[in-house]
Amino acid sequence: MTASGVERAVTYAVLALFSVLALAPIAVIVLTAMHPPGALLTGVELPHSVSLATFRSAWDAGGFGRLMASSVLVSASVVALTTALCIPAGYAFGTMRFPGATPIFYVMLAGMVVPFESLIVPLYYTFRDAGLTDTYWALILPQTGLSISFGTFWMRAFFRSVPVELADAARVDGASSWRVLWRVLVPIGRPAILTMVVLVFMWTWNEFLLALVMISDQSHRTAPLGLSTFQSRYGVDVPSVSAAAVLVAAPVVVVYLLTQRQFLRGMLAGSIRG
Amino acid sequence: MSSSPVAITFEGVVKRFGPVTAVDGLTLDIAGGEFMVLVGPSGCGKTTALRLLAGLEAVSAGRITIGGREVQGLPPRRRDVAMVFQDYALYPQMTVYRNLAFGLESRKVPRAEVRAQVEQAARRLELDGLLDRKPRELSGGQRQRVALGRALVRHPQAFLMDEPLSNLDAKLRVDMRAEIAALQRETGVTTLFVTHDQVEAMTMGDRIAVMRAGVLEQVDTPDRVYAEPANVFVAGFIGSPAMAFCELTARRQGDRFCLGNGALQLEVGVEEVPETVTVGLRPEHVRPWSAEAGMAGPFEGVVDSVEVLGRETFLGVRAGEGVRLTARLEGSARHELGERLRFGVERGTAHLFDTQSGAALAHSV
Repeated sequence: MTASGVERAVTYAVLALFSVLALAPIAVIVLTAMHPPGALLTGVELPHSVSLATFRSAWDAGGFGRLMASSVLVSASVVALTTALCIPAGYAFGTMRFPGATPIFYVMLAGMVVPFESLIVPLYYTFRDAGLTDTYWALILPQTGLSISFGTFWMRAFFRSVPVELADAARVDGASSWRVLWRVLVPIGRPAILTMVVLVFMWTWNEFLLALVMISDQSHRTAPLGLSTFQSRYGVDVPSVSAAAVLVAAPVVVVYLLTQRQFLRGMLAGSIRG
Repeated sequence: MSSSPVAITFEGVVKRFGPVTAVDGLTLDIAGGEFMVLVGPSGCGKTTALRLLAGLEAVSAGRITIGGREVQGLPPRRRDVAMVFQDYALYPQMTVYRNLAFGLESRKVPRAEVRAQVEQAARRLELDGLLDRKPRELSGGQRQRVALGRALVRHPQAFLMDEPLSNLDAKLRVDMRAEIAALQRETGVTTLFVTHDQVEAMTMGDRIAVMRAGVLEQVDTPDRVYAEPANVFVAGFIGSPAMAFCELTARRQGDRFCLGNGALQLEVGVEEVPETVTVGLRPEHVRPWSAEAGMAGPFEGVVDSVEVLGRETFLGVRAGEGVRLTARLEGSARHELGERLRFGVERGTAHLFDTQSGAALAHSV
């Protein structure tokens, strides 16, 4: 099918509009962050000169070295645990027939359906009774639990999309279920797995509410939480808040840029293979 | 190397998927070293039977043995069979070498031996130069060879092949047919080959097993299945173009019977036939009329289809109510649609079937 000139123009116009809508807020924040710290801004203003000084001062003032380290620790743990649990779970749901598979899978899905906010209060009391508040476990365990729903759902969809003959061939070839998974299916599933890793990383990195409820100790704060205290302490210092926001978002952007080709393949795989 | 060829048996094997019975009481003995072809139309249960033997599906009832050992409770890896799939099912991320080595490595064969075995199989299948390639860099025929190599390299007790030629073009298919048959003869490994293509069945199998709707209809050598089909279904399925059938009324004439319906009259030497009987005639036994000996006729019909194949021509001839035969002519004969044709039927070539049950009553009468 070839698009006519008018169709093409309309397509580009719509795409351009959505690109502007998506990119404008980011551009505004980056531009704002380039103003000197403490500058009084009345709206969107272009900086007189490009300066990275605000980033440096925001980094120091917010103590981002410590915050980033906490965020990296929590995100890496959640991603590692989620990946280690969801690949075998998705494999079981996607390729094996066992009694109760469907009801158990629906229970897993409940984690994606129930709003997390509704669980956070009972979760807080449970963790407090267990003496786990103000520890990294209070961030890692709930977020792993939350990610497992999506991860299992995602990996199950991947394993269902792989031609069943591949696993059959490996089984007849003498491979155990475990070997079929790790030697045959996981290498094919790299884009799907990487996509899950990026999404879970993103959600974990950006998680704010859980950290706010579970953590009061300064030393266990994560980067988004640091951003909030930053804002209250420097109430009206818009350039500094903007710079801090850019700093917090940067790792996610970097991870996405590094993995975008595989990420897109993973996102598209399901839609093409059905 | 597997020592001596092993026999395979299915005893009353049933496979149900929910309310659907895919394989219904299959009993089949495959002798050690035999090349058995399981043939039938799509959905007849032949692939399911193969998967039951491989252990990829669990039997609902019955027994399967390989070399006298009951296997229905064993996982695929404990059955020591190799399978070639319709879509080859090569591991896309592995090189040809790794594809071939995978089965041996799964069985913890020492590395040096793996290399020796893979190289030997690669030489046999002319894959030597391709060992470093990935499957996506291979042609269809090469992929097929890798799939065969993967089965060959393990020296299994049985080869299971699930329509392995159906994705190849016509010429390659003929070559691979010969190649697979030769490989099987060389290795002497008991083979179960599934196909819906009756030409493959006829040309490759020591014996062929014809299935329909989960039920085994006949097992015999290809020429016997062709010459003495057990029922109307087998008669119509084996042979191309298919055998033509018509219902004729029987009348006793001395020690013979005359079967006819006005347009067609055939005399057959049988002891007893029901009043109405289904008569099957193969195209090669129906020809344009020439007053040669041994021909019954002449009969008249109207040509309603013409298939010129060069070496031979097939004419569809409608001769009265419910009688449509296919006639075979040597070379490319010129006939027009709608033309009236006088034809004859070679005596002693009719197959008689019970009209109700479809079971064969007599052959070559």
